[in-house]
Amino acid sequence: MTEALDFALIKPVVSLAAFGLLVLVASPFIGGRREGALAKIVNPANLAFLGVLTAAINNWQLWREWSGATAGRTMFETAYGMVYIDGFGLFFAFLLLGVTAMVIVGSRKFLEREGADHGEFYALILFVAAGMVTMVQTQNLIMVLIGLEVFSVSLYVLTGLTRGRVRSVESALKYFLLGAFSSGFMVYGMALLYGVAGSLHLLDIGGASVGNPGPMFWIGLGLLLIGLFFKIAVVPFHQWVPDVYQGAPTNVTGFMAAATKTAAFAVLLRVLIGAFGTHAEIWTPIVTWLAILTMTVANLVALAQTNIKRLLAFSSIAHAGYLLIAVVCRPQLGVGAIMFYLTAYAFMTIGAFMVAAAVGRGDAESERGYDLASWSGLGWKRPALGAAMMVFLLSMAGIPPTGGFFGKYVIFKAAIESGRYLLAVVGVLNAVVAAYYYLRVIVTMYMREGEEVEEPLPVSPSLAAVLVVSVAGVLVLGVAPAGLIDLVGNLAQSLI
Amino acid sequence: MLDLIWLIPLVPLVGVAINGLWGRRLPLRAVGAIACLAVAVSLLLSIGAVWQLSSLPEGARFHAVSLGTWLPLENLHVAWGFAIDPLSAVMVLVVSGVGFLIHVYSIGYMAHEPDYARFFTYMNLFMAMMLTLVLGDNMLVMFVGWEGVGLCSYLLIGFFYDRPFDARTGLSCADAGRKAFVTNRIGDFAFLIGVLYLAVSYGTLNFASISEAVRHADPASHGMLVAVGILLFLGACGKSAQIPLYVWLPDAMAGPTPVSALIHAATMVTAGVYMVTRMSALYAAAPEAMAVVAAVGALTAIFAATMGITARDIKKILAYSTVSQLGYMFAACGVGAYVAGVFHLMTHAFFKALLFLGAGSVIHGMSDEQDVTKMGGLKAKMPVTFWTMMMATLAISGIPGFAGFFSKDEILAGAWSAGNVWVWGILAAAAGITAFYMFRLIALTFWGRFRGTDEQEHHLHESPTLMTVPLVILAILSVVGGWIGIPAVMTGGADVNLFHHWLAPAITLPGAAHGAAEAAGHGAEAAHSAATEWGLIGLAVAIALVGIFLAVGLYRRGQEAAGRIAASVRPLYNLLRNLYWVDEFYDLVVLRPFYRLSRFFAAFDRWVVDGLVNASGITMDITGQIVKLFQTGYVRNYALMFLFGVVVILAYLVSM
Repeated sequence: MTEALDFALIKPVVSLAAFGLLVLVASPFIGGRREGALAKIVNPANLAFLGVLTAAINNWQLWREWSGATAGRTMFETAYGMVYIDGFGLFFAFLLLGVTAMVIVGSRKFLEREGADHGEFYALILFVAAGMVTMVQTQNLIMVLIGLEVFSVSLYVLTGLTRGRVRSVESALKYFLLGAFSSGFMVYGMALLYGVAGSLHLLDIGGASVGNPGPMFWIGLGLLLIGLFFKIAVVPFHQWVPDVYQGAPTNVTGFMAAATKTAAFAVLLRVLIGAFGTHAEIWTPIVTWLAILTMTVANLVALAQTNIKRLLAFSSIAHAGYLLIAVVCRPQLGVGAIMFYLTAYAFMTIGAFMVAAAVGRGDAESERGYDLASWSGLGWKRPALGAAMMVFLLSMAGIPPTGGFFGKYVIFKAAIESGRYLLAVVGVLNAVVAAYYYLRVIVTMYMREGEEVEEPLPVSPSLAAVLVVSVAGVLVLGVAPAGLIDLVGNLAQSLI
Repeated sequence: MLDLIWLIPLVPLVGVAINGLWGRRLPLRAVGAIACLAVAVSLLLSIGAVWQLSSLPEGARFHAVSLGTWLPLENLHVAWGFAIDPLSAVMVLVVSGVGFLIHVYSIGYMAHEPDYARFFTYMNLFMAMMLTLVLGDNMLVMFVGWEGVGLCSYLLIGFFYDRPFDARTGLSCADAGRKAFVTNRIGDFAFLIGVLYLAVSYGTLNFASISEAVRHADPASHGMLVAVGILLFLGACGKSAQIPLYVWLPDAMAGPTPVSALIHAATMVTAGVYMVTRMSALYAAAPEAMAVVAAVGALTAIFAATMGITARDIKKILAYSTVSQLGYMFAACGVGAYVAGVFHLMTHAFFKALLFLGAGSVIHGMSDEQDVTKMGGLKAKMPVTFWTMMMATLAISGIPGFAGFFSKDEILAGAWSAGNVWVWGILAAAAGITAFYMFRLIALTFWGRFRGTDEQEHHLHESPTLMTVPLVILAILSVVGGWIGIPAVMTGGADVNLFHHWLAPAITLPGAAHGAAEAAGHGAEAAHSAATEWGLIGLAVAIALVGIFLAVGLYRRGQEAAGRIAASVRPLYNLLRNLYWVDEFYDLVVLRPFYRLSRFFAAFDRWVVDGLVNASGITMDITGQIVKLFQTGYVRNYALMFLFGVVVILAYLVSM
């Protein structure tokens, strides 16, 4: 492994980082509340969107190259294996870039309303994306750590972005403390694994750990997994989620919920299935019980929530539980199921939080707009917002014809075909419980008399576009899922 | 024209669309004219199609049109197919012809009713559905019509949904509609099972294919065929008001009188007879099912006839009569005399529609009075109504020369030659009773002195021309309609039974190989000698005459004489007057236990099922509230929980 850095392979990340820095530098000149035609075109949001677009094009070039590569070359590696491009990673990079783009487009009016329309927001969002793309396109633990810390630190800042709100600041601090706490475990785990294998390359560690690798390896693996479980928000490492999701600006919450889970799951799959699949019989019980615990606890607590952001927070934890089911299925079935589910999840989560952002008044004291009670009659007062929210909630509940339905379908199908009957049954039962609180929101929106609350945010064209894309994504995946199911099934091969 | 048969059921739908959407805003004249015009176009198309059909050679009188695939299933293809053959030709002419006359009559009869447009919308919808039923070339299209006419029947019985109907039972018109619908559902359910059975067994629902498949059926499937035959017949029992499902028809009289004439006398209730005839190949392969048909038909014929003796509502008398006459038709089918059955179906459509329309005219003239014991002497004031109804009464009584005579005689001859003396005896007796109650109706209504109020006498008048013209046309048909089926014995052996020649090729008889059906049919009916046949005819006419003389003698001057006789046989009278307590019996044996069961399940659902569901919901909710307590908001607690997880996971991994 003496090859030099192949710059082409890191172009997406470089683009994101470069545009992030550009936004940071330029925002004093092009940011703020300037009027005029020029400001409509040249502003931090558009610059950031351009950055994501560039990264996506770079990623597309890599994709072309990868999919056109001659047989046998299933991946490109550079920088001593620190950058690792394969179909699996490319898919996740696309997904993350899509989520980022949607958040950038949909956030502008919300930030203005919250008084947080600083250029830094867009710079930080791009840094988050850069960190995540780094993380999903590597097999090297150092790169995983760097990517993780880049996006985590950026998210801590983003969480506290609305610094006038006490909740925002408080949640940023909580997130930072617990995030640092979990990173400590994770880094220690990496160190132990290095001690076992003498390498930080996951595949090397996997090769060195065949047979009976001894307690140092197990403790190292356990600590690494715990770090990832924290990011994914698996019970009992989940308790930061409701507080942080509630405190963070709502658009950031949506971004966190959709993107963090996606990136962390990609790494989790690389670790458990890509590197340590040979030890599946050891880690399967852990993941199985964590899946059961996560689904059940999250759904039960979600029943008792009266705040839409907390409700969606517990809902996102529950989704992590469903996704864990697929981790312990046969990889040929499970990995593709996770990729499909995460795609549907991205659309419905971004969509739901964007609606919540539009409806909820970020009033520093009471935050009444996020109380379910104030959503009464919303479906009649704001028919388009209500209908969109209904689509997202039905998808989360797994009701056809939505992407969420097929997501659950492929996961439960994988579970049954892999003989994981217990998980399938618990998963279905949990889906029943979950339907209750999702439908309760719909009932509130359509069947409760609404008191006169302040007008929610008028839906700007850009936000409307994001919602239309989300609804379309959810419905297309629900009506014609076959294309994506086939695609992710093939891409998953590069991991297994 | 033959390629346009699909338009025959479709044209009335145009009327439905126009009157249904804009009827309320259109003038009354326009509504009536549109409805009649739609049916008239169907009638003309039917006549044209039948004319062309008749010009085809005898063996080739069949034409099918498909409007495209309906259900392209893997093992079953069903098309939107329509077909015309001699049998559906008869039906389509009867339905559109009688339907047209009744539509014209309704313009006058319904003139004073609100919701005029709704009435004609339903009537046109009924025509569309009935014509679909008779023209469908597979069982599923037929079933569309079958259910469609059921729906229209329900809608039209309950047309006066806000009025009470029967003081004795406390039924409202809406209840009567429901009763008809629910009773029909029982039959329809059996029918549908039969249809599905056929679909699964033969992979086709096309009538021609089913007939072909049944002819070559595996002997091992005999039991299945019998079961299917009986299931289909149960459907027919519902639609055509046979024992045990006849109870809805008398209450169906809650609908406006033209509805009773069109749906509950001439057309819809004969759908069962049509269906059984259509499936003659199946019944030929299942003689046991035919025996059931014959027995049920004959029993219904006499059973319903006896109930007609004591009824007082003019329309209910006619309703029992209809049930009884339908029994005749089924008995004919059951003994293999399908031609006679359909022949009677046709003549019955003429004279029974006429009787109902006449009754409507009487009710109209009597200011909505329906009790015959409160009428009398109407002959002078309503001559057209009287004379036309007289024609129909003579026809239904089987007086030689009138339409009913020929068809009834053919049925009796068929029963006799099939060796079924019991069926013959029952039907002959029923004929006598029929003659009796029909002349009772005539005598009480038109003869003697007027027994109504002065107010009614003051208003008494003949009906308008729009109503009497259809009466006259139907009266003519009630006389000459039978002449197309004159038995050979009456013409000295000359074979002029046109109806038989027309219809026989469309029918499969038991024991007859394909193609030889007609010959065998002739053979069976010619089995008895001319002398026997004359004797049978004479006997039947004599029985009818006895019935007539008894009725005229008893009721000519009112009902006092009959009342004395009734008093002397009080138990028998009560039995008949209360209709054998069949409704009460059903109430006790079917409805009440069913309601009890329903209440039990309702309670079970509310307390046990809902209870469990609610209990699990409440448990979840409480658990959620408890688990929520761990969400304290303190970072130290979160870190502790985190650490707990770390310890458990590491302990597990190290211990492995």
